[in-house]
Amino acid sequence: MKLISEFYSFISNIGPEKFFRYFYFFVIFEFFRFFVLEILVLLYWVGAKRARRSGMREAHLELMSRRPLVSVVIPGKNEGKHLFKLIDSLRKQTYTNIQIIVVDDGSDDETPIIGRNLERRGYIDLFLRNDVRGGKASAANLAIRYARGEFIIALDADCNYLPDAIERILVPFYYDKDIGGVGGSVQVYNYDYSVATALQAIEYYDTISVGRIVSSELGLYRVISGAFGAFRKDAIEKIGGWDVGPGMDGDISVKLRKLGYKVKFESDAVCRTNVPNTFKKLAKQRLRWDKSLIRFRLRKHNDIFLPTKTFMWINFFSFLENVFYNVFLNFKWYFYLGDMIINFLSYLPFIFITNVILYATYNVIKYLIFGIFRLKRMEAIIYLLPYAPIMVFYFGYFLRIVRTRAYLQEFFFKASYNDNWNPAKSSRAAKALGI
Amino acid sequence: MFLNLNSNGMDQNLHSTNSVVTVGKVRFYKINDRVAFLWNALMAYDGFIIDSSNAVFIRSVAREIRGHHQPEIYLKGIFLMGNPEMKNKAIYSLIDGFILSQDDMNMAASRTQDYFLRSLDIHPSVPKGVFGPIIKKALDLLYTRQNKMLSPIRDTHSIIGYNFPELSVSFEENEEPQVLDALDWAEKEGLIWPDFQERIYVCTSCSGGFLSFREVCPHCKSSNIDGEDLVHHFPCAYIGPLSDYQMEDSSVLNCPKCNKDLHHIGVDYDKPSVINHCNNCDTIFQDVYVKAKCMNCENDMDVQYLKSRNINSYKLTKKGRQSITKGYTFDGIEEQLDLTLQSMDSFMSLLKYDVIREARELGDDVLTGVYFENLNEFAQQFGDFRRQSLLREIAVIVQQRLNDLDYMCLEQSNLLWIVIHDVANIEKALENLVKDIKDLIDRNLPTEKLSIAFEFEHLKAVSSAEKCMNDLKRKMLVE
Repeated sequence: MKLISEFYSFISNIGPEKFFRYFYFFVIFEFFRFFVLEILVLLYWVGAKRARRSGMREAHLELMSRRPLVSVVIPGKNEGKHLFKLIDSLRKQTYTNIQIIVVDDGSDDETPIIGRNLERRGYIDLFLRNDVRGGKASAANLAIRYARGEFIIALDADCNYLPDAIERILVPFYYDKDIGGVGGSVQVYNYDYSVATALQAIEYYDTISVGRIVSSELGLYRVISGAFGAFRKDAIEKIGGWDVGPGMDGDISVKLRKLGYKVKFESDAVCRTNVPNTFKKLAKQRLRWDKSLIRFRLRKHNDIFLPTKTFMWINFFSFLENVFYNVFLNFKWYFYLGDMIINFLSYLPFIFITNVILYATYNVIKYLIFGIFRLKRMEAIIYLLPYAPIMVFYFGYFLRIVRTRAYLQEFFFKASYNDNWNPAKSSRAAKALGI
Repeated sequence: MFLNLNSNGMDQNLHSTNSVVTVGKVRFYKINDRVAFLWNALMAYDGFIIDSSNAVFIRSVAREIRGHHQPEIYLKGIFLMGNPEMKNKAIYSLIDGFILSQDDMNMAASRTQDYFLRSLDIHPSVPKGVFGPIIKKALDLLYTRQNKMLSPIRDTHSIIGYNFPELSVSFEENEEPQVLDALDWAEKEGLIWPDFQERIYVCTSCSGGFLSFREVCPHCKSSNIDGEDLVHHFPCAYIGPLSDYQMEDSSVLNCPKCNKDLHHIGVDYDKPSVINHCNNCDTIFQDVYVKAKCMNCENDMDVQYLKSRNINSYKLTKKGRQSITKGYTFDGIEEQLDLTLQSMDSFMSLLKYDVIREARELGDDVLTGVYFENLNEFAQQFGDFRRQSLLREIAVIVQQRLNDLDYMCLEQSNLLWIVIHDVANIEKALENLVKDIKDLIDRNLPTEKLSIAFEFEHLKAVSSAEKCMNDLKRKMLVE
């Protein structure tokens, strides 16, 4: 009771100046960037989308009249168990002129048998197997080596796709001929499996999907998801396909941007994926993702910050925004924490509680408001609502700690090269070349 | 007459003309390749001596004798004058010994007498069935020669690559598969006991054993394909066929993506797999199909559908010995048809009865024809045996959907006639039946598509069974 009355007293006497002093991190960096700015851009997006409607309709007509061959490439290891379901969802696509290529990257389970069987039955057009594992990048590159389509769509085997997904992801290519790659919207399929999957579902809906709508609208979109991305074949050939991962999807998007291609997000092209169902698995996945930010943004593609021949302001800002919000502010938060401990140690519990309340409220409001912009197909909105308040712990603490660890490991030890997601031979060779 | 042997132990007279050679009470007819001999006279002699070094001639004569239909001839001893080094194994199996000396001559006479005495034990009965007389000949030979086995020998003249001399003499060279059928028949009857020697794969169409195995394109089945190693360059993750890395003016491999030279396999690159390209249809694939082309009939088959046959050597069983001396007590095994299928004649009789019965409005019966349009293509691909198996499976499925009173028959192996009694919705019932059959094909032969057409007629509306069948047949086969 004493704590409650003290907290009440803290809140009652806080005033605007002190509020800003205690919670400047939330107000400046979180609220304005991820709420106010995003809502403004979303409003702009709604208008812009409406304005683009007739152009998109024409693009759609052009697509359907030309009906170009599209090569769907599915690289992976030990993914045989997912193949039938995936192929089934591809066979139900409204866009039918597709060549399906599955590449088995040295699987040690029944994948080769399943793949060959599907090939024999004519469910997939080409099943390629590397007896020796070479990594996902090489598997994808092998697929594009034998792809005959005008466009390449790269998929993950453990996903499934709404029936119009391929049709919708192709339309932007006919709307704007400068577009080299289009990312699809990835939703969480197993959102009701555990708390971990529910929290990721909210993250995918709000931060990833809405975030990508906003960044695409601003021309800053930089990660075509590996689970669902479409590329012009000539563009992907120009950039030489995928490089050694992890973080291949972000890398290839940046390579396209550096060559002057536009990269867009198509929110109506929906893919559903199974996300890690425990926090341990999630941490492992995010460690890999976050390391690649350091490796690719700050090392491999650091020329984007330099005044070279290929310098483009849009790429510069895209990277700057990415590095500022993900890397700089991540560490800045620890300064904020230190600041509070040093200067307001006695108020620290109240600052913490208030922060939690602020973030929880903010997350719920954001979840509901962003729901307006969400796809009508979003079936899980009611189910996920109770999880929105606890996103503060997920984003604010869990992901922050994972991210910090990943950045430090990559900064000081180049740990991504030791990740067994990629075979050691490829990582070793890539590390020797500094890529 | 007693032989007058020279220093080599041979009577010069033996080498000159066809003649009679007598050893004790045994009279041999000596045959050489210089003078024609009379078959009619052969029965008068106890045995034969072939005096020739011409393997073709020796074999020809031995085949004629062993292939003769009369036991008085085919059971007689055949001895070869000289040539023990002759490497023709077929001849070894057809003759009973070599004569190099007077002792050999006596041995030949003694054996000939033995054969004759043992042949007296043989019961004259012949097993029934197509292979009965042929098997009897071989068994008689086994019996009179006591421990002799029916052994296969490799033979490039035989279309299965093997030859059972004692049996093969009764067949042409291109009929050798029937020798295996005859042996299987005798084995099933328990007359002979097999001893495994080899397994061979034979053509599904002609049972020929000379097959040309080729790797072919899975799409167009052309053997005009080229394979290449896939090369994976580790640093840049490029992967492609070896030719992508080859340069015109250098033997060094160079990566087309990052333009770096490849140095050491396993260090900066490897070859994780191979890729094939069909020069005929331009298809890319990794797994080749293996097809086997029969060099006899040119039938081209998937290897998984080849028939396998065991090549065994055989010895007489106790039952075999008893049958030879006491007669064959069985009726022989004829190919049993499925009990679920009526013969065409009995089907017609039943159908005619039902047509009359229907005319008196005693029921609502339906005559249905189910026509398997491309079953002959199946036979070509998978062979008659598998087609028969398939038809049996189909008959079982159909039988499951029929009532006790319903009946069916098979016409020309690809047209199934069924009479169904008192069915409520015949169209639905037939659709379900066709679906079941197609499911069966999908389960067992997923890459094949069997085309099935069906027609039916209510017997009430039928004036005659034959006309009804002809009408339905015309609809299915012609229209």
